[in-house]
Amino acid sequence: MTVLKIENITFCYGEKVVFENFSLDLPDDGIIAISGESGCGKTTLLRLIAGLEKPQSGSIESPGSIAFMFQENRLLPSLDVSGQLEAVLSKGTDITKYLKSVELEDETHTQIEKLSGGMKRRVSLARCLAFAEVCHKSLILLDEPFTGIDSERVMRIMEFIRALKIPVIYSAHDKEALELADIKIAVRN
Amino acid sequence: MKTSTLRNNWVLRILLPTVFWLAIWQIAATIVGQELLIPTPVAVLKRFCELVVTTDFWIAAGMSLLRIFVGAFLGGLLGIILAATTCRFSVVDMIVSPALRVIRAIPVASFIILVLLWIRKGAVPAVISGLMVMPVMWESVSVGIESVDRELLEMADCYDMGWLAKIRRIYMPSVKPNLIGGIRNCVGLAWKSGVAAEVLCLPKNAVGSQVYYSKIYLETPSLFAWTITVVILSLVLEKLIFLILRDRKAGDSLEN
Repeated sequence: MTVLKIENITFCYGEKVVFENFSLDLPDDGIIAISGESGCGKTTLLRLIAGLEKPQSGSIESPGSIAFMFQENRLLPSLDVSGQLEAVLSKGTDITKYLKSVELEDETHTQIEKLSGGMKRRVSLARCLAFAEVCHKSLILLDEPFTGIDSERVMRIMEFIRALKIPVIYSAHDKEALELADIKIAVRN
Repeated sequence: MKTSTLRNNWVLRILLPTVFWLAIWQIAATIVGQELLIPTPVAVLKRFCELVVTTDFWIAAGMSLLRIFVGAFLGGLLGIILAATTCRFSVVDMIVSPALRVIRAIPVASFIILVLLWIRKGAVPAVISGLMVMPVMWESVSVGIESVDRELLEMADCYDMGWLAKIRRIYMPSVKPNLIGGIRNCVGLAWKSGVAAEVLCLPKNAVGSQVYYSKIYLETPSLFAWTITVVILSLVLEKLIFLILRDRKAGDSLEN
């Protein structure tokens, strides 16, 4: 049983070949980390899995419903923290649990422009996790979710992610964040 | 330090240029010495005061304001709708954009005379105001729509945000500065073109018609007084629109 089956994909950005005959099978539970140097194709791989990029050849079999957290925060301008979550959820959804999970329950009504980089990252993460659980997504893809978040907090957030019982694939740079995964995959140039 | 104090003092900021230009006007009128060519500020003010107390003045001012506002509002609305359509459908853009650019390039006087041939004269100022405002608003809003953050749109698609939410949360914040800039440009434009249309087609109860009759009867102080009326009305309308927009902005902030 696999959650994801990548078969012989080739993907190029113009002249630059990012993946050539790349194949990968991933199990349908647990937390999988993708590591690799900057520019090795971690983000491209996640975008290919999410269907945001199409490979030039090969195939990707992934569950149709995916929650994706982008490498950039992509937060909506002029909204407060709760507004970011409410904008992607149906009206009346209780968002307290998700804000607590990223330890931002005291910033519910803070305008997004007033938050630090790490806090914005946590808002973006909370939005993705809330969307995944509330909309019953079968896979969560997180692109560098822990950038700017201290390691102790990352561990507590990871406990919450595990409790969601939705398969997760995330990319990360630092060792501590990678150690929290069940399976680690290294992407090399 | 002295310069900044001068700039911050609003009484001085209004008084200084007013007194300066009134002095220049007075000097010019004294040098020319013919009220028919350049009346003195006092003569114009006297005529303006005489006009202000008449019912006809208020009817003419009100009717001009109504005609031009309705025309500009509808033209602006059409410009916004066209901007949304041309940005969404490239075929519509290919067909409509050249026409709007042509409309913008045609002299307003040519338009007034043409439109006067097609519709009744009372409606010409409103149509002209609308026609002049439409391409300006179209361009301003189009630039705003095209500058929308593509990454946010991709996020919205990923998170299944509906089209209404996309408009409210992504397009509106991006378009708003261009929309306000467009309105700012359009208020003055609508007034100039609307009054020019009134001067050329002479509808009943219109500031433009009064400007024309003042010229015909060689009542130069009246001509100046009616022109001042146009300026005042334009400024009042501009201030009114920006007060509404500022209140809405404050309301939005509270809501958010």
